[in-house]
Amino acid sequence: MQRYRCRTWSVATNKPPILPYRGVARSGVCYAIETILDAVALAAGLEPYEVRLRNLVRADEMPYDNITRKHFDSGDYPEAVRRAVRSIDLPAVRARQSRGEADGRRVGFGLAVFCEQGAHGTSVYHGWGIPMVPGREPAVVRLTPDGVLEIRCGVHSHGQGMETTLAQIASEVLGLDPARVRVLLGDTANTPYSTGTWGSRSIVMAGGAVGQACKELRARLLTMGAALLQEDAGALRWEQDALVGGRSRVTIADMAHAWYRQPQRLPSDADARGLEVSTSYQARRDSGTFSYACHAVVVAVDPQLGAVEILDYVIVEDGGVLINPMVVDGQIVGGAAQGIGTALFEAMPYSTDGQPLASTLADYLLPGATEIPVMRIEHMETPSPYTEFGQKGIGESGAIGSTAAVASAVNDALRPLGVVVDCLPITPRVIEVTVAARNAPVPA
Amino acid sequence: VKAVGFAYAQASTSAQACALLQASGGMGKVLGGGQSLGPMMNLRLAQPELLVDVLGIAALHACCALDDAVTLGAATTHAAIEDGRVADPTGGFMPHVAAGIAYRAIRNRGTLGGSLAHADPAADWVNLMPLLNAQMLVHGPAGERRVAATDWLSGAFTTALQDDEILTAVRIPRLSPTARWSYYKVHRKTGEFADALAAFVDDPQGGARRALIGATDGKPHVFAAEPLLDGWDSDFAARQLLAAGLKPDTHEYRIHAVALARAAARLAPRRAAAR
Repeated sequence: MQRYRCRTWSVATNKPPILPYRGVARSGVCYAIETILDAVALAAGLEPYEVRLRNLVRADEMPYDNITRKHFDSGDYPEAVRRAVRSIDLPAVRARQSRGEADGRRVGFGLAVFCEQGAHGTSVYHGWGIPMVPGREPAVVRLTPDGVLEIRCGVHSHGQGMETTLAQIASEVLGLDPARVRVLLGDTANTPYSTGTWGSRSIVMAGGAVGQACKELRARLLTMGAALLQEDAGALRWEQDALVGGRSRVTIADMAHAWYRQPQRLPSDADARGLEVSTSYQARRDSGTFSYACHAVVVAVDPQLGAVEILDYVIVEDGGVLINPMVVDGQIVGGAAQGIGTALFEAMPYSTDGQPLASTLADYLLPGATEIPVMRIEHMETPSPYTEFGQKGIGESGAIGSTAAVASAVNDALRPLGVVVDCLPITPRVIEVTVAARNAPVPA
Repeated sequence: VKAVGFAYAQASTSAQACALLQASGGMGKVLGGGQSLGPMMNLRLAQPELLVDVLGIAALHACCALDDAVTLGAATTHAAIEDGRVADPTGGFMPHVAAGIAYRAIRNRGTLGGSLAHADPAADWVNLMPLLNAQMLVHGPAGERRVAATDWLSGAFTTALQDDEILTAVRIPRLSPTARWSYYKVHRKTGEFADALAAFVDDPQGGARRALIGATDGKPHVFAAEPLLDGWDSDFAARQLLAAGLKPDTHEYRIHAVALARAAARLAPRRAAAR
């Protein structure tokens, strides 16, 4: 893309249709971009995925500085699209569309491609002129006398599974059983100050900080272990949580016990900093990680009633090196459910005199288990060159693409009827009224 | 969200329940399964001063199969009807409808009488009972009285029940073995109330050939449906939609029209199979 211009309007209102939650603003921007690309595909007589394939940054161009000066760190964006289209079996969907449905419904296919900047730091936020600028992310790790590792971070886990993933990182570095790792989060009485959990940053920033703190702790343990084993540190090797020398071995728990309870076993010049490490982390570049995904959806739309059923849902996602694929899947599914809610259900209407009309969950419809399809998730794992383990932030991705993909699929289904739905949420009423208006005889 | 303070009393007889309601001076509410009243109180949409729990009244649990009808106690749960744990006079119609009410967890607690007394016009039983020509058995200070289901609902959340009366049972006439029925509910998602309802009962042997248009703002509209059963008289269908209170050229009118047509389409093969 050689030229780019963007105009934005800010509106101050106490009646926002959507509040800052996962993927704030990104789902709306993705919806706008993908809607335009679908229109381009239609005008060009191309499959919508073809338009994406022709215009996406290629793997051999990575890392890539785009026209808005975003620095894409790594990945193969077109491959995500190809895999999603293959997995959803687009030719079969098109064949089904041309056959038609016995029940009169219309089948539609839609997709959305996006990338998610995460864990972007000081230079990015300072450049945007945002008052709160994140810097290095702190972490404290310490061994307790009974050989438990405590991790203290200022980020907070409200469902992101960081109790699991941060413990995993420590376990990876130190060889400790994750059951012997305790994670303390987001409590300024006990944990370092942090800007907290936001911007898909925690696994990169807090995860990086925990990784580096554990590496520092491991270096101190090596010196201590060499003293305890009375061997040269260079002759020792780690086996799980034990240092093994030529004659004997010492575990991390032994070393913690020696430090706190039997200091007479240690030389008088032992490392005065002890078994508590406080450090802070910055990625090698602070322009952020760029995870990305392609969402591909098949829906069936009942034009007479406006009901939408999601028949198939494929997500091909690249979150770099996955610390815990199950946790990542949970994030993606939860985010996609949120985006489906934005696409089909959630609305905050007001009466003309400003009375909120959806003030309870009886009126504010959320998708439930029966409305959320089983999503088929495929992972690509292109490491980020800039992060501690190659991981990328994925906390918001599910929510970014799902609204656009579902809307695209609904409009694909309605296209033969000559109508386009261009507002959210796409409720049954919106679809039915739009179709009925098209079918109504023109008044004489 | 939590309910405002309220008093709670358990009644062990219908007479006692009525006395408690009478003493509350119109500020009492009957508590059945609590599946609508509970959330409404927690959202503070309902703020009764006294709850009269009627689930301890043995008579409200009594179900009785007669030759020409079945009487179901008001405390019968949707789940009991769904599972066939009580007699079904309708050849599977009531269990089918019960299975579509909200979620199973709600059906385990929610009751037939509670739903009818709550009288949400988009709920299932307030619409089905007039189609089945049922009668409501009501206990009040003056004793027992019966109310035809067609006279039960006078508007949204408004019934023939007086403040000091309770609904004790519903008497549902038996359909003939050759009767066929169909039901079509339009709703946003599983567990939601209906946006449109339509249903048919075709029981020539029992002399009942009726249809229902329901889940409107007002009363369920039940009508003799011959012109829609032996062929499809679209002018007649349009007249019935108007009679149901629906305004032409509206979304509500059109989705009720679709529901009516699809209910008829569901009925047709069942009638063919019955011949």
